[in-house]
Amino acid sequence: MSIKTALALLNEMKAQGVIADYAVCEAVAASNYLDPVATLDLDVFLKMGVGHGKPILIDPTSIFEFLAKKGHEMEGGHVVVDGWPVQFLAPPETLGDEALKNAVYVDADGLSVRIITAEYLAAIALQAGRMKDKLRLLSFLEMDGFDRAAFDDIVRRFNLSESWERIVEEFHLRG
Amino acid sequence: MRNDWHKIESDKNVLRKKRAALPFGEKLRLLDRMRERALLFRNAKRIKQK
Repeated sequence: MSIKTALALLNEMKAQGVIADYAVCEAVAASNYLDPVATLDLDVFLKMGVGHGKPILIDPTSIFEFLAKKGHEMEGGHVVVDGWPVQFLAPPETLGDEALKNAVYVDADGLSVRIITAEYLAAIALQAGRMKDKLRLLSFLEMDGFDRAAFDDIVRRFNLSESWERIVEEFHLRG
Repeated sequence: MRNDWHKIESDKNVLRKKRAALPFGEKLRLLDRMRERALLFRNAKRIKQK
């Protein structure tokens, strides 16, 4: 069981035009910046785009066909790659689109992996608002090198100020 | 047994920062191991419930 197999496959799918682009999100992406937390699956944002002059990814069939040819089985809404369930997600609204556009490549033992940046992950966690998202957001706020100005800018531009104020109150972050 | 909670918390923070500073490749191996362990616990729970 190795998550790197699944990550390498994402690069292969992009290189072969099966997907226009991707970025790892949620717990696996957060683990690049923070103390890793156990997770059972790999979540990936996919860019809806055009490949070889034709629209792709309106219908995910091409992805599942590609993966099936590679011998990766379906399990519920996931594709299982080397023991890891991989979930392909459409980016949530415009925040997700911008996060995907600004994703960065990170080296993992010679493998380049495209992941969402810390500031966008924090903003997406703020928008999602589940307890695990709140915990992740608090961890980002304490992270060395977290770009607070960039985060504040995202919060302002995506109308997340009210959600942010609720977090400030709930966790006594003022002052 | 330790009961100096401030010291325990500060030790844990040091450990968290140490792990946060690991290279991504090393963290991916940690995620593999943590997932395997989580699945073992989940399966053990299911067997116990039967």
